Amino acid sequence: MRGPADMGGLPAGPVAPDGHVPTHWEKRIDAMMMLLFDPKRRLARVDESRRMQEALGEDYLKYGYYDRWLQAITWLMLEKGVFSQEELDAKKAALKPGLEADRA
Amino acid sequence: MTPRFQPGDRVRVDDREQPGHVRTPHYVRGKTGVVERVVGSFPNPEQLAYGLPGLPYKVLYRVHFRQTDLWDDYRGGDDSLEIEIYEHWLDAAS
Repeated sequence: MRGPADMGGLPAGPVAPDGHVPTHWEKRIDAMMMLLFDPKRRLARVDESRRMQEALGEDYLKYGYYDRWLQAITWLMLEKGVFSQEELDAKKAALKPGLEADRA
Repeated sequence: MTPRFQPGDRVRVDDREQPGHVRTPHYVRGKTGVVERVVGSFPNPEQLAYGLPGLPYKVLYRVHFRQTDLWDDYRGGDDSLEIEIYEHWLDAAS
């Protein structure tokens, strides 16, 4: 029952800080989360996001930091019925060409 | 909320498994430390994680551990570690 983020004390290599500069796409994910979680809307809380990120299990480390956030936000909005899987799929299909260019 | 423990009290972290979002890492479970301070009372994050209001509030403590009590092979001498643990994960220790 040990969650994927509970890695304190497990064997690991050295930490190599890469001086990563946040990309525009990452900032947009950040902004989206802030808007969904702020006290005015409070569609979800950070604790719920953590539950969803930890639900990634073995996939946790395969995801990038903001990819985990995006997955958590998506699952939370689906869980709460803010939008349906069908609505999400339709929107993604419609926006896909632009999204791929945007993330680069 | 009235804190069950005060600074200086020896406490043992409960060694139990619990599903969901839990903020008590495995490396301190079953270990004994000393309360360094009472941080305050907060909504229970284990409930907030499911969209619940987090009631009743839980008292949060900063607990001081000797590193040699946490890791069998620790060679850093008198180093210590402080971590914040909620009251429902702590028991009195002798």
